[in-house]
Amino acid sequence: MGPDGFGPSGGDGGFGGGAGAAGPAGGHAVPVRSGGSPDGALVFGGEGERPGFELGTFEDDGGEDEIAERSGSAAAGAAGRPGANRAGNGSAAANAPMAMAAADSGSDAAGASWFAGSGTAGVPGVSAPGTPGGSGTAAETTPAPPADAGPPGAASGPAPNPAADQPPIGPGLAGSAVTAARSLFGPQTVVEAVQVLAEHPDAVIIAGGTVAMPDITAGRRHPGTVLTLHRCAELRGWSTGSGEVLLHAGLTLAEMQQRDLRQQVPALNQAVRTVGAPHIRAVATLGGNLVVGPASADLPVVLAALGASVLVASADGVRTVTVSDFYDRDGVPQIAPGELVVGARVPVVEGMQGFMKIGVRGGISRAILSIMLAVDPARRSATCVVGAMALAGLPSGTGRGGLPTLLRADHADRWLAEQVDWDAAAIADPTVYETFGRLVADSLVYGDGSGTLGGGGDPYRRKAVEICARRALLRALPPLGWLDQVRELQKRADFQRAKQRVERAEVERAEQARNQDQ
Amino acid sequence: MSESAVEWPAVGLTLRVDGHEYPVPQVWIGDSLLAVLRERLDLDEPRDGCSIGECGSCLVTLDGRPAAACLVPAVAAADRDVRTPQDAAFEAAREAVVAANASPCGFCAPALTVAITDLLRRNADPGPAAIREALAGLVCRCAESGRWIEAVARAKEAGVGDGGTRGPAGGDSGEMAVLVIEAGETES
Repeated sequence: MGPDGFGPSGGDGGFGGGAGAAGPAGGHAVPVRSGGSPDGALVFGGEGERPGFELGTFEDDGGEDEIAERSGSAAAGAAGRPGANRAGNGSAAANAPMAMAAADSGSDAAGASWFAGSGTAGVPGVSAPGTPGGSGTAAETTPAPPADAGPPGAASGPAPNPAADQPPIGPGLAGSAVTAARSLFGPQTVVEAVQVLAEHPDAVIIAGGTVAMPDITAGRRHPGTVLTLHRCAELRGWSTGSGEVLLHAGLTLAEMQQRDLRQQVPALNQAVRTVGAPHIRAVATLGGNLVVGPASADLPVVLAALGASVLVASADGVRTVTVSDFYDRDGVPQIAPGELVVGARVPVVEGMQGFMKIGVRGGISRAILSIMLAVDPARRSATCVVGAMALAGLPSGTGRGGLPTLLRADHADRWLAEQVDWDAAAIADPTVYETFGRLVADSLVYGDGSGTLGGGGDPYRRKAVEICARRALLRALPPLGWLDQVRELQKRADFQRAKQRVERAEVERAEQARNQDQ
Repeated sequence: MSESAVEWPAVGLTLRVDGHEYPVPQVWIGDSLLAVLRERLDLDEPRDGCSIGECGSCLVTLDGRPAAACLVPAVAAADRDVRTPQDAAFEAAREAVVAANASPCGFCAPALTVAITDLLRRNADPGPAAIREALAGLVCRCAESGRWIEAVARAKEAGVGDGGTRGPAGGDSGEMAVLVIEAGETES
């Protein structure tokens, strides 16, 4: 048993030794920019200078070689898997001896640390959670991914299936038979994770556990296969690109509150503070929040207003979809079996961002209304997104009607953009605020008026949306000259305070003088 | 999962709890850490309140960060450092909770010690607002929050959180995003 105490099958961490026990992450990067040059590519878990894959090429040759090499070099730790080792070595030799040789040099050290089961050492991109990028290791750079990378979408053949040759039952503790081999996967890379998902589309994916575990504990879900993502270093943290940040799916809500990220995307911190207790935020992840969808999550509202897009990986590659398109109009995330949300790309904009939420109680709770207003002075636009706003009484044919979803107030945004004095980042006409609130509330009425989506039919929510939109706008784009007035008032207040300080000092001096006289 | 019978796939693992190693021969892959701690290891300080992560009674720390044990799969806790409220690290906070009578019925007292210790490690001098925000995840309420604030003050005096710098990723510091306006020159 490895030092991590993971399970029966030798040093592979007890995660069954299936596809999930494939090699370490060396060189496997999930591409996030289709067709881009490697220079500009944002690469999961690595620094900018690391060569990036082209889209759709990460799953085949290199992966197989890596798997083969690792299982071969650590055959002692992978007891009970001779079939897998043989198959892996054979294919490696047949396919790409060059790559295998390249992988050879770094594999011993990496293999040792990987099979030691620490789950972190030697894996590229591992760093303190939240630290963007990671210091490279020798193993990280050796397997030369661009040599194997083909053009986007040119990947051929099914995903490798190293688990096929494996005995399903391994010896457990005290000689008991444990059927772990096909049930539990703890992949360390996104590549392995999507391979597992391709083989087990029904696997329950657990990252933070805040979504899946209540269902499992209550018996609503009975997992036959569990895929935990807590060892997947590539999914942790976030990285910075040009004009955007890439939030990896494993970024926890607590990590979103750190200063570096807060400065670039302040609304994330505002939203996260309303989401849960510290112990929930410490484990809940961006990916889980996105997959739960706007029915109970707040981050989709923020990300939709910022114009972010979601990266969804599968065995076929990575697709990018905007947050607005990621959910259908009933708020159901459009994600197929076998797909895994691996991150979100968020553009960094300069303007004010405001998030507001009304919950069922004063403390942290689920939203009955959340609203996000993002102002982009460079593009002279403002975007308002309202979340958690669906009601029952939808027109038929909408599937799961009545679930909260995201609603954009596009025409209110467009109207607003014409009213703003963009050079001063202010609004001259004070009636704009109330009109904007009313327009946002009006825009939530759906269709011909017979059915309502959002707050159109709910007087409380309609009123709340109106007020929240007005206040959000007031904070984001103050009235013209308002900042000058505030500055003036503050100057006057400072003057008063200084004056009082001087007077107090004079009084004290006078008293001291009197005391000394006596 | 086969169609004919419900399978309960299990793994063997070793949990590292409070610095001790506990081998657990067979754990269902869907078992929560809380279930294993309470039912298998007989460590009953993390309470089983709601089992859905709402009440915070099952608070433990995982690798130094607070987590609701009912939301952590046991298999995901195997290679990590689990600390239950029984751990010596929470001794001072426990005494503070008792001294302030912050948990009259005692059900949430263990979780409260973990939450207070975590708060003081993150924020050495929290104000009342930061305390309320940090403890908002514990919904046990047979004590009014004034006693909880007193417990935090006593724990601070006892030196909880001293030297516990955890870096900026620790979470909320009670800061609000506010519009800062430069006052300019004052004429005094």
